[in-house]
Amino acid sequence: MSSHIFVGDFWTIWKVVPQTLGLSFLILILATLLGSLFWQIQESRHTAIKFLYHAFSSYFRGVPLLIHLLIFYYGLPIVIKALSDQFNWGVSTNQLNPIYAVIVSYTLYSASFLAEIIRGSFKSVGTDQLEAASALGYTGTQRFFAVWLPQALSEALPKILNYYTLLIRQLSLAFLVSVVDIFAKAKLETAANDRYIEAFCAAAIVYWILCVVLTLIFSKVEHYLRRYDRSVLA
Amino acid sequence: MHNFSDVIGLFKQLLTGLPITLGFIISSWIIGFSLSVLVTAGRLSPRRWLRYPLDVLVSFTRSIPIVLQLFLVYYGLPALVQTLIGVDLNDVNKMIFCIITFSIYYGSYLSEILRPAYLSVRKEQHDAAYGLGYTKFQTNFHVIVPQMFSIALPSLGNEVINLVHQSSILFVLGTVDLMGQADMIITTDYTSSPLLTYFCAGMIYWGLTIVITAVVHSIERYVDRYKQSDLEGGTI
Amino acid sequence: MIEITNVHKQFNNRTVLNGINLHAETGNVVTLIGPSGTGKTTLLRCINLLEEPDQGTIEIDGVRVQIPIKNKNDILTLRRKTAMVFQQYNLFRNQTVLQNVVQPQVLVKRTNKQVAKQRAETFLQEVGMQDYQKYYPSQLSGGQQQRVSIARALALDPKVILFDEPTSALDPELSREVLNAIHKVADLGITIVLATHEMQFAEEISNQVVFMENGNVVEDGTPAEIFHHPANERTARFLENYRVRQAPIYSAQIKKFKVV
Ligand SMILES: Nc1ncnc2c1ncn2[C@@H]1O[C@H](COP(=O)(O)OP(=O)(O)O)[C@@H](O)[C@H]1O
Ligand SMILES: [Mg+2]
Repeated sequence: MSSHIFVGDFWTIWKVVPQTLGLSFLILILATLLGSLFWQIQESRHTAIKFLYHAFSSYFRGVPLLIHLLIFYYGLPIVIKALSDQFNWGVSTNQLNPIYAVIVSYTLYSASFLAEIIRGSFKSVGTDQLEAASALGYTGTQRFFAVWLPQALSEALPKILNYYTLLIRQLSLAFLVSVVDIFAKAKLETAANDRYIEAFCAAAIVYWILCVVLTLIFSKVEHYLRRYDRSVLA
Repeated sequence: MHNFSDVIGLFKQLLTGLPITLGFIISSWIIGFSLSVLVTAGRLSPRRWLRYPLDVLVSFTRSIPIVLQLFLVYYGLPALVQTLIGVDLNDVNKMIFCIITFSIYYGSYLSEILRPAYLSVRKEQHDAAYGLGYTKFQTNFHVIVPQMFSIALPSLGNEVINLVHQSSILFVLGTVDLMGQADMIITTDYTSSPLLTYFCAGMIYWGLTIVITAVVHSIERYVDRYKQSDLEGGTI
Repeated sequence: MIEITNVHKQFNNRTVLNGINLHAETGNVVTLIGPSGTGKTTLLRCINLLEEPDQGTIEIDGVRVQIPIKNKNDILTLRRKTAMVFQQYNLFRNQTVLQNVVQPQVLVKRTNKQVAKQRAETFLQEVGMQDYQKYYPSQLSGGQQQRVSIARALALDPKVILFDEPTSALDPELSREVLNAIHKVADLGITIVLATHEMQFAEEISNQVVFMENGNVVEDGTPAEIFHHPANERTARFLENYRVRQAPIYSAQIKKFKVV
């Protein structure tokens, strides 16, 4: 193992950190929004809709992310082409950027997990809190925005942020569809200089640093969000 | 368009990889889980020289994508062994490297589930057992560890499913497991549809997930059977 | 003025309120007494429509709601005539003491935030909690939380405050400070409906006592009538039993054992 090559690889790989973080963040936001929608669908009173959602969520959670990614990689251009032909969009799908396959598959997959986190967080807010708001004369909207949402958010946010670090790691599969993240960059480096161990060690260190730093920041956020749960009864 | 018998044929060929996938999952889980019990015990020990290195190991394996860990072991381990003791590992079966990677990963990762479970039980039950005159070993073995597993069970079940799903990445090393078969069909057969092949492979993983979920649920029900009486006595 | 007419409520086909009629003048302190499970809580929750009765009419300060409710806005209008103090305090756990008293004023009464703060301070002073403005509920004792919840109710200027066993989750020492706070509310001339098991306190604070049993109002009168000359035999028996059970030392212990 050559320390010279290691350092070179490290800095090359470090350059793709922003785009890795950015792409993961985009997916996280989309998945959180979609997950909230899923939560609403789940609460629906129509059994047919509920059943469809359950089948959908079981599928997305039951099949490995890797396979979702490959299915969307091959399937998305076909779907878009069909739609384009149908509605005359005139979109060329010959060179559909594979990043769309990553975004769509990761968003759907993550949303099916985040929906559970979101549902659990809203459920964890006690009925006593909601009843107090009603009894004081809050409207439904006030009750949601002033009581329910803030409490659910401080429950959900730490878990969602935790999911973010998971997404960063999961994005390592994107090399299969030639989207470049940290791991893909390391693989490209190994192809360039034929030195495997240096590049992979460098990538490992990059991931380690990122994860430790993010976890530290997120635990500070969590500490702040849960400030009202720390009873210091005299 | 593919007809029905093509799909059956496809499934048949994919399923030839299933025994390897299952063998991999079972051996990785058994080794990984046993290892994690030791790691948990080590991390709970008061000895710093034992605790700190294990904490570092867990932090490392948690932070790094499993596919990278796989490559690290696959390329790094032979080189390391070669330089340290001069043994050549290049002809060793790839599956061995896969099992080593996942055993280390789960060996440390699962301690993140077992350790909090142990601590949460200990807080409540420790004094009770000591008060009855149990030794430390008796307390752990008869009182705390059984309850710890009942707490940890749902999370452990999730991790088994996680392992099944993560095992789909092995094919990047050219293994002949379920996903490896799918890859082989696509690269060797011009007429094959990657979409259909991956979808069918996905169906098999889905089925596996459903079966494991059902098994975990029935184990949970069995383990938690004594909890019901708790509820009945709970009225104020 | 409160006028409750013929309120019925069933849970899972079990009748919990069986045609309740209740009239209370403005400024009255009405205590509801009766065995556990008799429907006191349910009645209070029907008064502010947290629970929708199956049948009946509820009128508070000129707002009249008839079941079935035709206009959903009436629910809010009626609720805004009232405020509730819960057995388990139900303070917003993510808000400080001050925020707990300020936010309802801002949202419900559209009070200017600065004014709401000043008013909050006044009412916190009133219940003796002015020194805890920055605390979160989890940092307070039960009695302190309940006093904040009384301040929160007061700050809304309600015509009626509904108290549901406000001291039954508290140790006797802590009850006293809450009872004092309720006294202050009564002194302000706000109409009170209070469900309680503290007979002595009921006698001392109220000018109307309602004895309920099995979802019916059995007897309705002044404290002197109910506690000393009950017209109904069942009222007498309940109070008699109560005195026996209330024997000073035992009561506290029995309660503790039950909880464990
Ligand atoms: N939400 C509910 N669902 C079903 N039963 C209920 C509900 N709320 C109250 N009850 C039942 O109604 C009866 C009266 O309860 P409650 O009003 O709490 O009595 P009290 O406050 O006088 O002790 C009890 O038997 C109780 O079990
Ligand atoms: Mg009650």
